[in-house]
Amino acid sequence: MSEVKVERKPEEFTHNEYEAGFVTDIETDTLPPGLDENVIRHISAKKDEPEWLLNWRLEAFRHWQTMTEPHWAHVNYPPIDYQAISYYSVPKSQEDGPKSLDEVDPKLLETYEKLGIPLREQEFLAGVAVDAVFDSVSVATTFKGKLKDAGVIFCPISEAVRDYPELVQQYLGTVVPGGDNYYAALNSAVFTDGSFVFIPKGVRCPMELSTYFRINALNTGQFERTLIIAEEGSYVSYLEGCTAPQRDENQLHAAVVELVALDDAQIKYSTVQNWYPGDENGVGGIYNFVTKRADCRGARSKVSWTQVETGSAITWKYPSCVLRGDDSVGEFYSVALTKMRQEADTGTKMIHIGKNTKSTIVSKGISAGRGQQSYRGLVRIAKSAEGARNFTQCDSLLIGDNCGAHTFPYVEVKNSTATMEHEATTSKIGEDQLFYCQSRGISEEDAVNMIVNGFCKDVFNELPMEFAVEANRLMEVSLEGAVG
Amino acid sequence: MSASLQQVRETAWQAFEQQGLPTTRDEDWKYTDLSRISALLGEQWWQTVEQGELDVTAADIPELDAWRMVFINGHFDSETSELPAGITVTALSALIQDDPDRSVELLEFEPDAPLSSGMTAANSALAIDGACICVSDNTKLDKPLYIQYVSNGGTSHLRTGIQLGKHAEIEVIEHFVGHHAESGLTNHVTAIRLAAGASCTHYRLQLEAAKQCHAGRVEVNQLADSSYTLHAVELGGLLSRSDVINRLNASGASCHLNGLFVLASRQHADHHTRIEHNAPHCKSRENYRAVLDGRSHGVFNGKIVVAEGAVKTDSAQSNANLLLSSNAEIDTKPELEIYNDDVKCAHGVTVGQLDKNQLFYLTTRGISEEEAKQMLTFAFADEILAKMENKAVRRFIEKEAFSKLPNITDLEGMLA
Amino acid sequence: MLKIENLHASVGGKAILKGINLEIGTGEVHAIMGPNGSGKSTLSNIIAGRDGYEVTQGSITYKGKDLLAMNPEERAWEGVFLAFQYPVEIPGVNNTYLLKAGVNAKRTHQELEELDAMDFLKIVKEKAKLVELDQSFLSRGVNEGFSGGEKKRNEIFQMAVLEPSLALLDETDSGLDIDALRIVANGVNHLRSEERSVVMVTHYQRLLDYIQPDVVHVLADGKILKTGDKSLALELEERGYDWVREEAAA
Repeated sequence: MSEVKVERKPEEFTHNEYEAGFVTDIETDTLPPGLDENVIRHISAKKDEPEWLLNWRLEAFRHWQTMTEPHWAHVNYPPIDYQAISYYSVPKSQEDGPKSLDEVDPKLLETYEKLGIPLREQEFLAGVAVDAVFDSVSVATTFKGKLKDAGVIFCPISEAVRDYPELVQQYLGTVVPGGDNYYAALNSAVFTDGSFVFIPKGVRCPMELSTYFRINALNTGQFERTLIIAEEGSYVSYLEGCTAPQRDENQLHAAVVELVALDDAQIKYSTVQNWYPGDENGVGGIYNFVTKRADCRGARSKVSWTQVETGSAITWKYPSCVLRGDDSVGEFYSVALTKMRQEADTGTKMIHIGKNTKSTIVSKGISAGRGQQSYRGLVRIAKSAEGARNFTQCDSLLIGDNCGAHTFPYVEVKNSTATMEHEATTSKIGEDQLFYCQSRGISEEDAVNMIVNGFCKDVFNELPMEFAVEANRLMEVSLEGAVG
Repeated sequence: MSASLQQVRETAWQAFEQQGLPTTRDEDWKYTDLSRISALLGEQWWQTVEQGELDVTAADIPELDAWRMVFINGHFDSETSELPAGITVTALSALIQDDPDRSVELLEFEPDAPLSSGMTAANSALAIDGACICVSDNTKLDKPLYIQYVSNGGTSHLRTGIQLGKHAEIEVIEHFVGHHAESGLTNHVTAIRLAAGASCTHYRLQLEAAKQCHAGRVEVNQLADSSYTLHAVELGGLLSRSDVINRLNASGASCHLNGLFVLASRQHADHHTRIEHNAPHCKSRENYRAVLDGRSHGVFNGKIVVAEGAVKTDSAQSNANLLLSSNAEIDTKPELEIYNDDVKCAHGVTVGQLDKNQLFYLTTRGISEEEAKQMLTFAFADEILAKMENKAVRRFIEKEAFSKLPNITDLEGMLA
Repeated sequence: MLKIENLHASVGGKAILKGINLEIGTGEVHAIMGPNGSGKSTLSNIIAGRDGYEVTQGSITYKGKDLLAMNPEERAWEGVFLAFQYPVEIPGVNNTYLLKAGVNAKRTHQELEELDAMDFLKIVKEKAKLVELDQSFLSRGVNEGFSGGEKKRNEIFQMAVLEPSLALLDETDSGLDIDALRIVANGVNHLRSEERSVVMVTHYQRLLDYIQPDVVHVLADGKILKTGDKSLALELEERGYDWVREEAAA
């Protein structure tokens, strides 16, 4: 068994490790750093928002000022100076909001093409509609027309505020309230863009919807807000991807995602998160502090979260399901990889309220280099949740003797008819597994990739095809050099 | 009292006055509200009180052949005690008189120790008695040492130290008992040190009176190839919280923690355990089960920490819970903190009902569903008790545990 | 003893049994044979009263009573016994205690006096010998840590102790080596009597070499397709099941 190597030369990283690390040179309209009520008024005015939304933002902001940053997560980072961040940055050419694709700045189109996300519809993978968010603004949304024919609304949230204010007002903040937690409150105050999805009653969304988030400008934070509403009996599959340039400064990404599923509705939400992770010394990288929550309001509704988390310097993220409707179902499938000096504290909450609600949690954590990873989860079965069931499988794989893997599962059960089962294992890649592969002529690095992919298979199987391929590739790139 | 002991007491008292009791806002105390202690016992809840004599033999474990040490309301009772020769067993109260420096060592308060709280500080400041046991190298105590802590209310702070030399061996049965109707508090700390190759089997049987509050702490430090086995049983008291800190500090050390809660009415029991793998080639096994009836509330938090360099760690933890009543509650959190890759760690938690296939099987043998449920409940809990090698203790606990569950009708039959 | 009429049953909405008619006389030994998935185990589970099967049509009459109206323990008291295909392990429940509770529940039902511990132990020891079950198994948890063969022997041992009127053996021969098969068969043969009926569910003929059936039925696609004497079993062994299907279809 050869020894496990963690150190690599910095220049190797620039080429292999993070392919999305380039900067787009584009003129921007960026607010100077700092946060006060004027900044919020400015953002709201720029977006031509109605009075109620401005007030909602201000209320969240005032609440945020009374809150303290949470420090219970198993992560370490220097204090964040919230006054050193710019809360609004928009490419000049996009200042007037999203236009038709023909008018989108070619530089932006080029950026997305480089990332493998062609925005010209004829070039794009059939069957996937894309909303592209660049810093604080949505720059393009494809297939809007086709979706509209099916009754589906898919647009930037700022556009939804303008065109469908009643819908936004009815649902915004009903899953994650303005003062929910520190980062959610900050997001509610300053969110700039994000996607809005509305699937009307009985409609099966005819294509996959996806949003691609890109942070580009220096010293800005990205605060997007996504709201997905699935009415009775509808179905939607939504994907999101994220990248950012390679910089020595840390950048903050504090998003909020709210999902509402009514009776018999199904939402499948998949994420491939590949924000810049920083370098091997822990310099730079995105702080990814995200609040994602689904409200399974309706009977027999179902929400399924699938995430592949390979990027970010720090991840703090717990996509959750509130299982309110009787017989509603929540699922969480996660693969998280921490390497170099990445730290992730991630998991889920399943709150069982309705009768015969069911949840499944499958979490696969891989820790390499000096990475530190924690699974943090909560399964709460309320007294009302007669017959509730949960199954949790939580496995960690360790590569190298300087990394860490931690598990903090909270289980709270108040109903005697409930069944919950939690299993967790932690192990390293088996020497015998490696040896077996090698004796069949497979290189050690390939063998590690094969074993890791096998380890993640249960989760990758949940991803839509295009993303599964992407996820596999990301894991490979990320693990390159983890074993020498 | 020597100056240094005085200092230890004062430092601890100051720490207590500063910290007070932990609250449910502290992560480690999230599910256990200690304000009930001050509410139950009044503002000066921490004050020790001396109360009358008790018939201690009434509380004995039948057919247990053992040396005995008895503490009544926090004070050593030499009359009912029968101490072994050959090893050093003294009461802390005597040690404070005769060898204050050694008592300092035992009573010192470490504010940074894991799960240390105002309760631990109060114990450092106020404990005036307890058992001090020293077993020298290569010595094995011929019979178990049975320590009875009997209370009839009031507050007792007790501190017990067990120190085993190389390859020494002991079986200690700590039994907390009372039959009084008033509320009271037992605040007890056991500190155990095991030298290389030493072996300690420790029964900790909490059968306090119905309104008693119980705070326990067991701190174990283990050296190479030593082995420690704990059988922790929570049956009595109204509010009980115990912390077990087990450090595997040298290669080859192993520990087995077995725990059983059988709770009914409004009982609340909380166990926080922390096993630290601080050296390579150590092994830990932990099995906790709870059977909760009535409006009882069980809390289990089991943390396994594997330090950097603790390679070839082998650790397994399991926690299973059975809710018999729709008003019972369990909060459980099995935690792993692992800082090295050469480990084998697993944990599992279940909360649920009796196995349907097993129920069906039993009914096809002509057993009524109700009785089948009783049998399976008994079997569920008895899996933990089956790990007890001391048959007298096991039988005693089986009877005490299952007589609490009103539905078990043929206990004698199941035990036969 | 047992009369099944036009029995239709389904699991999770899927029809498994599609009109079973079967009559088993007192003292008779019947074998039900059929390919995998034909509904054999479903039939024995329904007779024993397992949850999760929906009887959509038909009836089962046992000693003149409506069997389907009884819960599993009542059936056991009335003398129905199922030897499980996969006997479940029940750690912590003592094998002897289980039997004693079962025997005494049945005796109470029959308004007989409960057996005392001594009498019971005598019976148990005697029956354990019959299936060559080591005494040590008596005090262990039910099937806990038993090998496949030991579990099957334990089933026959329990049957011997409970002395049923109708014994159903669900694939009791599967997974047994030749010695274990012989022991199990001896146990069953020993229990054969004029008051007792036995139904063996199997898909191999080999058990029938040891326990000679009076009647052989072929169950396939949820129906009894053919009934014959023991020579039918041999024919099945030789020709498989397809010809029975074809014959039935014709």
